[in-house]
Amino acid sequence: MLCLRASRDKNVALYEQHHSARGPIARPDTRKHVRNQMRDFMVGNVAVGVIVVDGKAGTEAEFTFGEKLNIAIGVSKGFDILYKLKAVAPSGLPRIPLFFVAKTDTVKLDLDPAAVPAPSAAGTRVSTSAEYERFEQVWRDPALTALGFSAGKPGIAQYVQKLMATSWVALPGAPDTAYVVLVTKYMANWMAYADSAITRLTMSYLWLADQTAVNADGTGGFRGTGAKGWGEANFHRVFAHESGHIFGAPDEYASSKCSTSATAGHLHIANSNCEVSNPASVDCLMKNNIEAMCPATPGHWGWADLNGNGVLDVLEP
Amino acid sequence: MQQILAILSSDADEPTITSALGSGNSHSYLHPTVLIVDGDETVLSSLSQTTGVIATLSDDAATNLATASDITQLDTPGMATLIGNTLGVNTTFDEPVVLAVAGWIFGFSPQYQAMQSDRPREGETWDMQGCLPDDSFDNA
Repeated sequence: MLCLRASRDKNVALYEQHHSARGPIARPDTRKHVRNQMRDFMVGNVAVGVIVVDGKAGTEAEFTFGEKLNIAIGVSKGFDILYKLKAVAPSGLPRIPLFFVAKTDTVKLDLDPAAVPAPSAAGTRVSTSAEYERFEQVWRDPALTALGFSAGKPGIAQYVQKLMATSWVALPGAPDTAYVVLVTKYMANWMAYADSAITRLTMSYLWLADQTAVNADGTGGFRGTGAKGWGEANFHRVFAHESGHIFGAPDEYASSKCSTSATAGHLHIANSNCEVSNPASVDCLMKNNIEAMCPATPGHWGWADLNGNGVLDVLEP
Repeated sequence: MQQILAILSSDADEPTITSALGSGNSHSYLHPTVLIVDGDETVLSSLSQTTGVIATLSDDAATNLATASDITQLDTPGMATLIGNTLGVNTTFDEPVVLAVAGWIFGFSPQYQAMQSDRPREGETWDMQGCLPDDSFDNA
């Protein structure tokens, strides 16, 4: 399952009132907005909790101050990309409420990076959920514990619920949905990946930043994985791309083995821009390292009014 | 349209802040008390005089600050001091606020601008076949 079916917002009218009005508005009881399940569409007040899992002092897993700043601005610039894509959404759509709020927690671990498995050599990487977990849990669970949460998925869920209950000062309304971003220089099974079901994405800064070239035979790349990073300068774009997964957009590049007949997102929209056997496929965020909108992505993110009644379909009761 | 950073007190009043925004628009929050606003000099002036706003910083001021010194060479306490001195406030900001403010300032730095003007792998097709596992994370 790629996406989690979200519960419908029972407070749409209240939400619209808060977001369309410019005048004084009353703060709602935020407890009414807390849900156990997060939205699988990119609409509303989106809370993003960034957990910077900082490594042991003096090791490769330790972030520099400059890298922490790049993460902070990268998240903000990632928001900019998503706002920019909203601005070029198909004309004629109802207003798409979208507002990002963030908070960052930094956790300093005394964990030796050697305690985390080394990445798999080119051609041998296993892409199962268990393998992702084998890398991630080594540093993620101590970080969650240090923040006062349980280990594993329960801890992620607790963190998301805390985000939903967090008060962003003077924010009209509470968060409508939330997701967690784990950023670390400890090893992971891939440089960046997203799990929409628990609204968590992970970014391996060390891998992402690495620019070691891949050889013609597929070897080389980051530590012999055969995969080169996208560079620190592209942190925001990778963040935006992975955030796209959180809200239901699938990959559209050929190596993802996508299919134009497959559907995705809350509204089950076909992945019509998938590159596989599709000469009409265009370059865009879910396919390329650029800041352009894919034709099908608005639908995947819930930016659609298919029945033309002037209300986003994802917000209809 | 310029960008403005506003540090809010934890008891800032929502209607007051909304009113102070005037023609400006909230852009995002980088921390529960750090609001980014798209607005002009009028909005900056209005916010600066609003109860519940501890300090404001324009993008011009952020650019000047980031150009005058390489803030990546600082640490959190050093950056907190620089921010406090720049904003003229005696408040001691904790690390999440410092990172939020400093990250925003860093975005106007020559280093960040140079990095963005020379982005690697521009336009390439993602080879992010590891974005999602072959099975589902539900199995983890």
